[in-house]
Amino acid sequence: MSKKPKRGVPKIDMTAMVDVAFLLLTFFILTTTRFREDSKAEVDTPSSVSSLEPPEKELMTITVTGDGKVFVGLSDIATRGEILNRFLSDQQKQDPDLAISAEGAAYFSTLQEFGVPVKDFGTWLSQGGDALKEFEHAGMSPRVTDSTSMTGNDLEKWVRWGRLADQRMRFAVKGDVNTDYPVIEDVISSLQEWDVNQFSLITSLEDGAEVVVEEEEE
Amino acid sequence: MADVDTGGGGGRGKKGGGSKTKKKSTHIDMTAMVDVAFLLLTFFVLTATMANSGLIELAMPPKADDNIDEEDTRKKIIEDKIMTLVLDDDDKITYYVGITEPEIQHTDFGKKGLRNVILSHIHQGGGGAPLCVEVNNAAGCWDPIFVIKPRKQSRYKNLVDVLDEFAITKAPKYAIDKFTPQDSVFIANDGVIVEGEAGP
Repeated sequence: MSKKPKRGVPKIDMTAMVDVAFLLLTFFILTTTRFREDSKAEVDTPSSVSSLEPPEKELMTITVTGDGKVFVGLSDIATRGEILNRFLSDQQKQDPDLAISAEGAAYFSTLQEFGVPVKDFGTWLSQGGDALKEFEHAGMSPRVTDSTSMTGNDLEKWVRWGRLADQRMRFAVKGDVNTDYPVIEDVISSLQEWDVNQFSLITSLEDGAEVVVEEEEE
Repeated sequence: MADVDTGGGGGRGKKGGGSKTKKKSTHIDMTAMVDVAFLLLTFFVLTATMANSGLIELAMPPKADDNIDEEDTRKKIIEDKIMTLVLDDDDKITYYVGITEPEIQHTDFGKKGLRNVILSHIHQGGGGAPLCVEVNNAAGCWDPIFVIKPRKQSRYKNLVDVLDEFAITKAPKYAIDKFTPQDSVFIANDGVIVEGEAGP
């Protein structure tokens, strides 16, 4: 005699839901290129119709915030080490006592972006522990100095060291919507100071579809 | 039929017949799995940084050599080809064609603004001559050139917007130049070059 007692809770077949959940999960795991890093400089880039992908290697990104602070980012970990050597060999000519700690160098190679002025750079990387991580990134100056001075501004120095560290280095400028144009002009001049006449502007892809539709109307 | 009793119905199985227990055992409780799947899904959705960046390639001319006479190189280009776009504050644009007493006009980034200005210069400026990029630089072709001169008060967004319009309208040649005090005088005087200040 099969007399089942009726249950209060009905059974739901969750197979389809599980399928969908795992499909989405797989998609997002695969599309997540990297986890959101704690960025030193938050910028809201202007949008464009360009769908070119920024290169992932051999790239120096010059980030310009809305209030005109400049940050430098290097895509390759190997280049980060190499550029430190360039920085040291150049700056030690002026300051023979300049040194960076092994911990500082290791921390620097993990940084996606930095904005410590060259004059404070040695102090920053000679520290260890929390002081290293909590050092203030005040942003660098792209202000063009007169071309007769051999030293140049901070950005010019990094552009030069970047080119020396990796000869195939490409440069990209990532500006904020509200950055004043003179700052960008200074950044471009700093790049041109070391004959970087070809570079890219990083933009975000937002209203591209809308623009394409508009174009078809005409 | 293998016995895959998950233990969920184990207590009841002893009471009834053997066949009933086997039927029930195919049901797996997926609640926990769904919980975990959605937890991970939520995590990845929130941390995912979608690839949404674009790239505008820009080539600047090499730094001007002091030995080259700038006026001389400028005269080699037929001036009607050149449309100068001056980026003002408040997202406004001043533009003019040529350099000898041009008509100074104003526009903005609106739907009927800048794009129409650029398109009309590309397609009507040459008086019906084919574009050089389309006819492989054949004789008599039309070769429009755009020069962007951003003022100090303009924003970076304005520059990118103009470059973007160039990309949309497929403008063949464009350059970014510095906005000089002479340009300021030039515009203030409605395109008349004031003798002694910047004129030839």
